[in-house]
Amino acid sequence: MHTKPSFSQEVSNLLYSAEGKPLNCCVQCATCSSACPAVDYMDCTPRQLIAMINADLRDEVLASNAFWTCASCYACSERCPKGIRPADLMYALKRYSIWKRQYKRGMIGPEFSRRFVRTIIRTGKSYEPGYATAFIFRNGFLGLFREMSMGLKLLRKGRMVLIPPKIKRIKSFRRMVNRIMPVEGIA
Amino acid sequence: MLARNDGHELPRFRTGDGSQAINYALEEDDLHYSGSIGVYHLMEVFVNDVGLDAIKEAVSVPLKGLRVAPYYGCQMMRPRKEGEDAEDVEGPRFFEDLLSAIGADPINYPARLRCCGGSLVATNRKAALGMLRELLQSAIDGGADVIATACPLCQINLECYQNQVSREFRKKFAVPILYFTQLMGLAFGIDPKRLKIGTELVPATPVLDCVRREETASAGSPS
Repeated sequence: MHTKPSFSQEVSNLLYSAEGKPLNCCVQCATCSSACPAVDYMDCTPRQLIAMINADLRDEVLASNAFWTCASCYACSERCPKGIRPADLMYALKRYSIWKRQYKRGMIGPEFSRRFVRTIIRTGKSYEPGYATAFIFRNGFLGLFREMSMGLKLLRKGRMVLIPPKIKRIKSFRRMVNRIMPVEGIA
Repeated sequence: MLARNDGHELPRFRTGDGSQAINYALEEDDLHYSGSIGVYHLMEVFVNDVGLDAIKEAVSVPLKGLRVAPYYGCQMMRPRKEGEDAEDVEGPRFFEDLLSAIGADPINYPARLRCCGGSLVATNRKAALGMLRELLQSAIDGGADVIATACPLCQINLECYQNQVSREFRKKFAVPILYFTQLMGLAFGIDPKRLKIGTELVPATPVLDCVRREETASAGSPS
């Protein structure tokens, strides 16, 4: 008879290949929070997030915008004196959040991630306009207008292409991805 | 390019690092990754493999008087590589050294290793604009004429969204942003048009003026 893993256990499992020390090594020194360049825009700090995970506060963690505001600059991972990798934790939380379809309302990250993965699988390359629709409508009419005019300027100066370029052997690439990550409807 | 090992053990895979899954996927196309390829940023290749002396030799139009803010960004430095290739992620100087080698005047400013926001410009625009403003202001306070980038996404964020930073914080920012290879190319005497200078959304005229001044001063030298 197995018991359901606790939230902190689930997160710990997601972090297995990240090579950092387990989250329960955290001594709450707040070095991660002070290193974080985006912390001012988070509703709770990296340090608080780790404390919440260790306390199994699953719903509170998933309702936070903190891990969606992480820019993955790795400053925290570099400086943590206990060897924890908070940057990888943020990715783990994003994956968990999307997997469980539970995240704060209005977060652009999940849709952006979905389109990003889809673009890579379709073409083998990143292509910014492919994910533009995930966010260009979020900054009002003026925001949309400005984004489009920037795109036009770049196009005119030959710094952007309209047709997304594909890599060679894209079909093999898709089969490769499908081997370890089933991709519905694309491969 | 092989990983530098100087006779030491080549990088080995570790349990749980994902290499097994990756190689299982690569098998589908008869490919295999054994971990013997070193991965370096172009700037590391210039500094470590080509060498600053060779670069100095190739300079025909030193960017004298041009105050450049070297913007390392995050991905070039972090996460730090292991073992032989471990970088000094807290106090690197190689970007400054490269700029000095091409005759420019690298400035010191606190935000040189800070993140520009990266993809937050899409997923959290306000956060990105705030982070960009800190960067731009820090470079301006340090006396920069131009910011040199080493990451295409930093380039886009700093250059293409600079007008949005100005609007958001009601302060006009107009700092030219150039990729480090463009500055190197200028110093080597390559025609600015070939370097796509003139296509920036924030005009790089101050940079070009400095180069033209130098060319006039050293008229007769090969370019």
